[in-house]
Amino acid sequence: MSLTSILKEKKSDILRIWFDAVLLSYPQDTANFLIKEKDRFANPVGFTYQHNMEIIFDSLVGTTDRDTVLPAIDNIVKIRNVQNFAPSQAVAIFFLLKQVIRQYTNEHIANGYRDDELLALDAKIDNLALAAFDCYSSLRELMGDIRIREAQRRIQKLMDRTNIFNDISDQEGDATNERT
Amino acid sequence: MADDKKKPEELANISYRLPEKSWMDTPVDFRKGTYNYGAVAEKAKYLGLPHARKWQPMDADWQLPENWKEIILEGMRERLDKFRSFRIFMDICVRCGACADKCHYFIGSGDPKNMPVLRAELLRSVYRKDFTAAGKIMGKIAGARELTVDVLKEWFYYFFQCTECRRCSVFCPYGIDTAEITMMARELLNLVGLNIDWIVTPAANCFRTGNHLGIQPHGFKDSIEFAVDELAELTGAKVEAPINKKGAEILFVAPSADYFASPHYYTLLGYLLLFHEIGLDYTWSSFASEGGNFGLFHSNQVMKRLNAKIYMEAKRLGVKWVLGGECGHMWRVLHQYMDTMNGPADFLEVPKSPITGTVFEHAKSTKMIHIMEFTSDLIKNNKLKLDPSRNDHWNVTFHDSCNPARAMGLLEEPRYVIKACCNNFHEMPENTIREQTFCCGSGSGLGTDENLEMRLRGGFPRANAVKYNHDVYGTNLLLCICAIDKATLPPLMEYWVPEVDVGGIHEMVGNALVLKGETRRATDLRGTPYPEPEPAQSEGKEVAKDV
Ligand code: SF4
Ligand code: SF4
Repeated sequence: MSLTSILKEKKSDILRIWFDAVLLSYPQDTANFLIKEKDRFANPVGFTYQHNMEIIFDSLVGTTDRDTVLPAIDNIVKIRNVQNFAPSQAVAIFFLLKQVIRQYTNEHIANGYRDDELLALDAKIDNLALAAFDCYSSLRELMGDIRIREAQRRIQKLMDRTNIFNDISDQEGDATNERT
Repeated sequence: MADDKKKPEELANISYRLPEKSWMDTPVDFRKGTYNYGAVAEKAKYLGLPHARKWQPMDADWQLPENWKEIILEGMRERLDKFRSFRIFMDICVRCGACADKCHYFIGSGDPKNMPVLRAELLRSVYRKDFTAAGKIMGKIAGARELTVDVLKEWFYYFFQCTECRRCSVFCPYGIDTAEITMMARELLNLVGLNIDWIVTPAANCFRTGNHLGIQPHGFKDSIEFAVDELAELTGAKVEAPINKKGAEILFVAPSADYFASPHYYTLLGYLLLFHEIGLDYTWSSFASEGGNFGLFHSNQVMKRLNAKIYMEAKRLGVKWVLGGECGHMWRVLHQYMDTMNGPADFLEVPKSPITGTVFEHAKSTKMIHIMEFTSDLIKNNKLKLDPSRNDHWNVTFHDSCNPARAMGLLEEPRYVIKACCNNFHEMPENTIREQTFCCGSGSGLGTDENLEMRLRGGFPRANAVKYNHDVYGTNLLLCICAIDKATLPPLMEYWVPEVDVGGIHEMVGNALVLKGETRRATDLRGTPYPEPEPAQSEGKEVAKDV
């Protein structure tokens, strides 16, 4: 049996174990809530994880294209970026998938799959994790931009009245204001 | 599982499992991005606050007054005697957990101390230790603990991580209002000089000049005149905006951000157009130039002092009643406290719309109504000609701001006005609106630059519902009737749902309002051009929606 077929067949088991492993990064009470509350609006974090982890998993077995998987990674990293995690912890959950898959297949699959298949899978997961790094760092940048724009919006009309931003945008042709 | 097999988290070589310690023994980690800066000493002094000093939460030594513990416990005793609700809330929680997962901060952060029940427990544990017999004798077993500097730091961290939104109280079978517990905790912290700057500085500015940026009367006047000029350019209307006009019928008080911030400003344009069109006899006041009341987030004394300006100005100008703009916490203060704090306003009359004749009996005592009540009444009585197609470039949804929704039950009026002014309106999911609305995550003085990370956590449940609407209906504008929301939802959207903009309902009214003798509008109030030719606007009748 090929590794891909194994993954396809055991998808729900592996996803569950992966989610359990991700939940270990939260205190017990929180983990219970994240897994038990099924309403996607009452529990947006739990929902976002589960929904997007499935998309990411599908990309490993070749049923999801890159345009779909990148937003899925972004949705998850966005959450971990603002929660109490170090950058490494924020993206580590993607690497974790390697271990989850190895452990699962070692325990449950009698007929071995080929090593080159596993290597190829590792490479795919590494790519996911690298994409997660990119997301993480662009989100940090975005937060910096958000701060600046927020400070500007706070006094936007005062500035318009005293013509400060207008002068800059006139000279540089840059649309600092939605309306000047 | 075979013994030699490692667990996933061990293989990843990252410490995943968090140490399971009791919440009482887990100290606070002041991670950058999650807390607010301390108040600037001069501003605290200006308000006459106790123990004003230079300090910051990240300092190891908070330079507390020597007898800080005594001060806090005495303050607690005083408040337990004075506010019956405080004592009841300290006593009756049965820890049923119904509120636990209802706080947006818990949902977004995953930090258990953001569960309302645990947040309250931070204070309750000290209450038990010092004010109950069981706690005095049995200590920790009875859930009691000593008040220490670490506990105080924990209070500061978590009580400035509660937006006083009251969502949790909707679910508590006993009606325990954690927001009020937070208010008490903040008052106690204030007694030893622990405040945050984004509350103290705006409060000091409001006290001094009447608005939170500290803009002086001539600056206020310039701002309003600037808006009048812009309206002339945008719509051709020659609007009048009287300031400090004695003997006007109505005093209008808006949150100050409406005249200097974006997107608030477009709401201001909407008010001005509306008042012009109906010929309202009203006035602005350059002294009560702030509807918002940052005192609410500080202490009952500061709240009272700031709120007093509204009645004082109403009296000085000799108006009959007061109309308030699109503001959130102004209404919490008004509905819950104004009457007993600064009333009775017996020099005013019960608000009566001069246009429709409607008497707003529910405001018999405060003499002040919300502009949503006023405008919805105008529409209901067919006094406005509206062309909702002028908002067709917007696909809108409505965020119930915590205070108007939960504190004053302003649920139907905003929706009624939106439906009259916009053709594309879709509600967000049921458990995220009306009484159950999710907070913006930045209210009650927490909308600062330095704690953006915490705000993005707390705002996630709200943003998640907006994202759903965006994905399903193509929503591109989030409407709200609160100045704090208009300031804090745009960053939230930029992070979580960048396709969605933020605006006020009176901006929609201003766009849709067909003025008498109006020529075709080339742009909306933001200056965005309408497509050419504008759909049948000149015929008015076919498109104007009479509601
Ligand atoms: S819902 Fe009320 S009684 Fe239950 S834990 Fe929360 S505050 Fe206590
Ligand atoms: S009042 Fe709002 S922010 Fe405070 S604990 Fe309750 S739900 Fe959370």
